[in-house]
Amino acid sequence: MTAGEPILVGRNVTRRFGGLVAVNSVDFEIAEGEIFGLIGPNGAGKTTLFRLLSGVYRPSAGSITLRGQELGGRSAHAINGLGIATTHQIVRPFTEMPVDKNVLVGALYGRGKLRGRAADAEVDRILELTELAPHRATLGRSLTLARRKRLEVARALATRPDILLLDEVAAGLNPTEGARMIQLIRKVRDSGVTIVMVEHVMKAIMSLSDRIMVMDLGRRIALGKPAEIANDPAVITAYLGQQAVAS
Amino acid sequence: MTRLLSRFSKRALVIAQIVIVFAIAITIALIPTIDERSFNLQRIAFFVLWYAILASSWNIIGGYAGQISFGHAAFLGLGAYVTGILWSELHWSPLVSLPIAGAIAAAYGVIVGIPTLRLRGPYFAIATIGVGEATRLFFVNFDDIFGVTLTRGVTGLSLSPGREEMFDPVNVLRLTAVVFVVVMLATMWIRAGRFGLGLFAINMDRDAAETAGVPTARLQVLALAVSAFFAASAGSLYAARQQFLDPASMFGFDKSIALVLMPVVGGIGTVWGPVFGAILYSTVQDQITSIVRNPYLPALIYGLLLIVIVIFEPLGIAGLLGRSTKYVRMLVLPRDGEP
Amino acid sequence: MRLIEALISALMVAGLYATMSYGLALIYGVMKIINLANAGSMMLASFATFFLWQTFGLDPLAAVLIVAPLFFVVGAVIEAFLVRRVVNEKPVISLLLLFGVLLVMQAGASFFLGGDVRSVRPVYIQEVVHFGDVTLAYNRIFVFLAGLIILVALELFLRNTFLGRAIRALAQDRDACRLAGIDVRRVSMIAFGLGTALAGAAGALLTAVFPFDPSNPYGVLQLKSFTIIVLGGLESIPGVAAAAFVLAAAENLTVTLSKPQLENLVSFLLLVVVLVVMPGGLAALIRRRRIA
Repeated sequence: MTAGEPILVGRNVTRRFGGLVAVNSVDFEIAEGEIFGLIGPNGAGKTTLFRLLSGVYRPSAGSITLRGQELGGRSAHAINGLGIATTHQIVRPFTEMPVDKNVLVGALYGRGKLRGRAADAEVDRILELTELAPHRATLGRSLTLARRKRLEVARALATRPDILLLDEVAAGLNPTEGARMIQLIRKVRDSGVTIVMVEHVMKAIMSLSDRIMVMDLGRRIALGKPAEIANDPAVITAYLGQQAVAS
Repeated sequence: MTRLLSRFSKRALVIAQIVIVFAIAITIALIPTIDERSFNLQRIAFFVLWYAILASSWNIIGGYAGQISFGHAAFLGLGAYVTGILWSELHWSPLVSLPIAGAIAAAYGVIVGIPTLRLRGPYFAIATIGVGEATRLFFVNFDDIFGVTLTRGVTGLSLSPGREEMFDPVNVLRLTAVVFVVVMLATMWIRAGRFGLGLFAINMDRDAAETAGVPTARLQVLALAVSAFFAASAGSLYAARQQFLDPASMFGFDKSIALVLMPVVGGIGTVWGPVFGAILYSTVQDQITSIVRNPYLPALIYGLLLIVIVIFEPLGIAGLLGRSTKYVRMLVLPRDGEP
Repeated sequence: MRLIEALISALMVAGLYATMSYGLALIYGVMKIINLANAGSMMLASFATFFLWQTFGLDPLAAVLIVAPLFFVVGAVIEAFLVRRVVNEKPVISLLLLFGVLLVMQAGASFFLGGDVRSVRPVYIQEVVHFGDVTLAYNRIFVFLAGLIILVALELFLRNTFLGRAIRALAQDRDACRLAGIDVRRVSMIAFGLGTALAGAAGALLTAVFPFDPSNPYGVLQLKSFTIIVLGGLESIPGVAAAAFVLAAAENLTVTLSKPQLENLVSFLLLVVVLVVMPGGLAALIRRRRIA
């Protein structure tokens, strides 16, 4: 699928925590409809960048624009209102609510601002898409990890985002569950949602991404198609010892 | 087919609850008509309803939103004093001043809530202790600070009702029943609807709710404002009935304690929990203190109850009841977001 | 001169405030739990001290040596049987639990011991000493010194003993402690016991300075200790000492310069303001300066 116009643009994005610069002058342009991967060794600043995109953190410097609109400084729910939804690295379902109510929160408070039967219908649709329908009455805290991850995606989708941020959504899943997740991500993208994903599971990110950005120590060190990245010497150096990248 | 049935039974339960609320209110409102001389019963009935109103109001911020407030007496006292002062200075009937008191308290709730509800973990609870006590001290010293005679400080404000009808205990009881219905319906509506679902989401995980599009700051402040409104209306009712206000009893820490106790013991976050807690509390206050002449015994009981509940049955009386039949459980302990 | 006298007087009171608050800070640091029952322990300790004074003529300052270990045991028991069960739940759960414990303590003590205002009258209660134009009461000086000794002893313990260091480690990272072989449960219990012992010591010392009224069991002081630990930065012992002085000074200045009734109002306003404006307290302010 060919990518469209740039939809999410970052210029000189920087985030400091006291003396530590977690994200250092990073530039990027994410195109509409693409699957944009973000990889890098631990501590590279990937999750921090994600949190800047979703509004949990504010940038110390630089700008992030969504279709030209400046994001920096807005609250997380306001950014959600502009069209960015996120999942979390450590899954955070609403524990005492059943699955369908979890998704309902997103439907009611998301961009769709759905109400009543329309909201219920949307919840049903998303539960089908994420294959969670058989578990709709299960409480958040009783779900297996794989189902929690799909719930994260479902709840985020219910907010009708243009851009979906997936933070290590394949981590901790066995190969079968991982393959299911990859399928789900493709289905989501095909429905018109731009996807930005952080991953350590190389198989997932290499097969899914249209383009990949590599970070190390807060900086961007490479950006390009998966095949180009895999052979980039700077990337291989950063990952020193990770054979999976070279293969 | 089972889904259709369950939707029907859910609707039936909602209707049943509404009917029960009205039944309680109407029964109590009719007591004076049935037996004019039943003063003691009327007193008991007033306080049960009154405590239920207070406990339900606390439950909105403490149970649904999960922000424990140890200073809720501030709103109660504020409502009482507004009504008291509007009567003693302007001769406005409590019927008129009740919504005004509620609005003022709601505004106070917003002012206090905006900076403090941002706080995480136990800090909001601690801040409420500070706010509660600060409000009390403010009212104690009000006249001195502003050089007026409005609150009459520690000596207390005495209301001379004259011939104002609204101060007749029978009318107060009826008004209380009306307020009870309003509060119960409001809490049921909140719990079943979008607002309540948002509050529960914030309660479970504030950041996750935020990224799911819930405007957490705004919703929490709104919950506090609504809670304050209802607590203040209870204050108005108290002023109308007792006709004497003093800072120690209106803003006392023991009132704030009661406000926490009732919903927690009864069933935090449920619709009927605060009512159970109110019944328990007024029973203990009334009956036990007349049997054993020690004013500290209730506190001992409540403390032990709290400990036991926190450790063994976090949903209090409602939780215990919910362990019985399926329909009782559905009535008393619906899952979050359900009516 | 009035100002200096006010400040010195504040220093004396600060010692007491600080002793009252160390326990809170310690327990919060180690277990991330606000010990609402702190005031209850203080009150019971005051009762115990009074009892010892009445029965044996024991001076409150000496009573500390008996009362503190006693309350160490009380605290350890509370932790082992109650607090331990809720340590991993949401903070509100432990708040409610300890609130229940506080109620039991307050009610229990009043219930059993009756409600008259009691006063402990050690030998030196009326004696004062003069430094130039400044008058100081002996009892306040002694209580201040006792508080100072406790502070120093506490810091030495936390820095130089294995147990003390284990407690500090636990305050930083519970899981890392488990991996390092530290018995987290035992150390938590000891920390809670130590925090309660500190409250007990404060309760004993308080009787040397203020008449003791069981019907008003230190509610106001409890709130002041919250203000202090929040202002001091919740986990930092030196922060507590500094914050105690700031609060005492603020109160004293308010009393001296404006209306005396506003004394307590100051502490509550300070609490709310600090929580909102400077949640990390003074300690965070200092830490930020050091990094930058």
